[in-house]
Amino acid sequence: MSTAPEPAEVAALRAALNVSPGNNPLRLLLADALLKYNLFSAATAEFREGLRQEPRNMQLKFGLARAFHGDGKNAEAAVLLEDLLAAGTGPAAAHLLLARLLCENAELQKAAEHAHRARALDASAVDADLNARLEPFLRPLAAGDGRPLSQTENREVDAEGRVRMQAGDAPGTMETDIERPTVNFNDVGGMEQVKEQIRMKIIHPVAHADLFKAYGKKIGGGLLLYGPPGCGKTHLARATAGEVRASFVSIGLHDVLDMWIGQSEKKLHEIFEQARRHRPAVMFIDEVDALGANRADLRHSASRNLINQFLAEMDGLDTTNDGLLVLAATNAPWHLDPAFRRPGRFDHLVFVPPPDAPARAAILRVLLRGKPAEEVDFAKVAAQAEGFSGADLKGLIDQAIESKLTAAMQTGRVEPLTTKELLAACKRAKSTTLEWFSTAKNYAMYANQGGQYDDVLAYLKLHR
Amino acid sequence: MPAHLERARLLLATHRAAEAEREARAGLGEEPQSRELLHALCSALVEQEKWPEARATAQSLVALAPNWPDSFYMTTCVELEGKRYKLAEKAALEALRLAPNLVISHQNLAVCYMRQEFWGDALREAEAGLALDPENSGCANIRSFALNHFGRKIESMHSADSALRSNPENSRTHYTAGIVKLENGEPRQALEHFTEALRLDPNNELARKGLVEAMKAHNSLYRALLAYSFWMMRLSAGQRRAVIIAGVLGYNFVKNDSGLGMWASLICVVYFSFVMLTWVGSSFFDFLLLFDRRTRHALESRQRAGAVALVCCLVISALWFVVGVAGSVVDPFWALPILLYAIPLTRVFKNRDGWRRVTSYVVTVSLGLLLLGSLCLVATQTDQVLVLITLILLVIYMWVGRLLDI
Repeated sequence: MSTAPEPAEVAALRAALNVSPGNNPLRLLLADALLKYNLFSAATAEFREGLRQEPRNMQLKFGLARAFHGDGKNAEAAVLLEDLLAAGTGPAAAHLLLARLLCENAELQKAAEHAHRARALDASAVDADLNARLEPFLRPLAAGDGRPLSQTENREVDAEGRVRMQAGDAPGTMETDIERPTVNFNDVGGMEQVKEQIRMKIIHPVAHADLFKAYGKKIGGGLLLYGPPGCGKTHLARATAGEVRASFVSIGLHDVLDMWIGQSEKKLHEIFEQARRHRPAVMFIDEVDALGANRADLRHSASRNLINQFLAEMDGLDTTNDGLLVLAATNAPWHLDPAFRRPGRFDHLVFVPPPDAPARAAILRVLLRGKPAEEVDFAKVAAQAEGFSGADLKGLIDQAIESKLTAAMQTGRVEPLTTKELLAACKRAKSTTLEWFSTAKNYAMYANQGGQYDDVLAYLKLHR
Repeated sequence: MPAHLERARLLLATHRAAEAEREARAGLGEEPQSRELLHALCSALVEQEKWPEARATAQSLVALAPNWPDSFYMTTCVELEGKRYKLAEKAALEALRLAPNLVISHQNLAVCYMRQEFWGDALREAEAGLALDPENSGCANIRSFALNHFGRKIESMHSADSALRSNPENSRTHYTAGIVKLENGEPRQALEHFTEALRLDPNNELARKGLVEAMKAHNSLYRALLAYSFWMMRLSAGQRRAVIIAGVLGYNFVKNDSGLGMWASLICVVYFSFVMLTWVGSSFFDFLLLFDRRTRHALESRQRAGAVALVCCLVISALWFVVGVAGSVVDPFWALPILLYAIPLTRVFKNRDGWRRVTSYVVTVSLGLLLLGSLCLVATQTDQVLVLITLILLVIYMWVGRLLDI
């Protein structure tokens, strides 16, 4: 029996491998080339030989699974893939291949899980035929549609209407949850000026991407929200992601601290990469001054390395940040390293003031929802609560409720809250924004050479 | 390094004292004998200005680590803030004994001496610190202040300039340079330094006050007043009293027995005006600053209130005088007690500490009621004795208040 000659590419690779038979990367190239030319048996032999030398090499394992699949040995391929993915370190393509195999085996639920995982790891890992077959299992759940939550679909919706996908087990990825917020600007009371600024700087560029690209403008960049604590910066960032229907990756203070302690530039890079894989994506960094602290204030060189890594990620030096919007929030923008404010990074500053009177009334209305209250004049209470943050308003309500509870425990009856009681609580409560403004005023008066704190001056009705 | 300690230190470095306190306390729950965690806790309390807790924690730290210099650095800081200078000095001396070759030991001790106005000792310690680290801005600043106090102006300015060269981005260094320039009659340069100090640290209260003084010092009259104030500050408390008493005696002599004729009256008027100016000059020039957009907001609210109160008093006094001169309704002479009332009135807005503040309030309110009542009697031509008593009390206050600094 005569065998067909090998393609030239394969022959060349084999000749090279004969010279250095221990060169596994070369063997991998040869095996991939054999797969390309559908020479599955030969490919299988090469992958097996490679695994004999490097039993833990995932690429070789995956390659062998592909060779099995090509050779019609689906069962062996499936077993190998399950073994590969059980360690939690398989690539997206492995999940996708296993999804196909499971689908062919009529295990549609499990197939859908792996298809999800593939998509979570790599947005481009999509098989249209497979999706069509798995469509009933792939349709996302939304809050309130009556269907039960399914953990196996890797999506859950929390009480605030956030749809959250859990991070996949892709190799070397940080366990960061990707959200798809269902809130948008309609869910943010007041703050019309702030919302308009965000629309101009973030939302319109995404909505009219082609128009912006025609003028050479990139879609993406950074926006820094700053203001007193408890005024809705995080909620606003989430609503922005909802407006552009983007994925939402959130990094909090403790994530940052963990990165500091682990000196983990790699973790930071992985978070950015994960966000990039899910573009368009909004990455939100809360309390960004903890991550981007002025390098002059930090003593450890490792800390500076983390900041340098963050700056490099913002600049997208090794990759493009098109479609990646980075929102950050801080109560202390003046503590941020000046490098963060350079063009292309957080060069847009948006001051998020305490809620205005209509917003305060709306917040009070929401806070009192479901609680016994009797025809409360929200406008009047809101007018008394000038300068109160959302958190302060919650504190005010809590105080009023506590007083009411004390009375209710004596009478044994549920008494509704009244406007008078809320106004009395308002007098007792103190705004936590005052302290912030006394510091902010100093920065706005004396360290405002670039005009970055003009909004604070305007809010305080001061003039330069 | 244990995780809680590392997190606490990172939180302190990123100005999150409240979270740092929580981390430190959590760490201490696991390692109650950790001096580093206790130190971090104390630092967090100091940053939040929780002074009683900070003091107690510093004492615990000393008890836990009596041979660790950092325990005493922390104690020095806390005691200085509480104005317990002797205790601060004691802690600083102990830190110096434990770590004589660390510049911070000398710097801390120099600060203690400076706060107590022991300028010779402060200079000695600052120079000892600079011998260890010539670029230490803290010691350079203290040296500059001390040299200035001794009238060694050129050396003082060189010291300030040297500190600036080493640390151009240091707010305190600019503040020190500003004070030296201001005391040496260079308000324009002082203003630049105070402005820069505030740009670097907008929360630098001393620099803000310096900015206000530098703006006022653009006026030559205020500059003269400032020079007098700085000169008085260089004297000891006893020497200051002696100057005041000598002034009173001299005034009485010139007025009564000097034989200088009309010159005596002129000298008395000038002296009296000068004394009034030393009392109310600062508030008067604060009022002028209200018309400058740059400095209006640099004034504290109490400075603004004091300025407005002073001008109201002056205006009412002037009106009384003019009405009295124009018609015969009231005696224009009684404009004088109204004018003198400006002194305790402006003082109320300046005094901050404990008994001085309370005394100032009581004296001002009492004199105010007395003045109001007496002027009503005068206006209705019922009685003049009460207003005379009020005038005498106000004059007494001018001298006694100055001696007691109320």
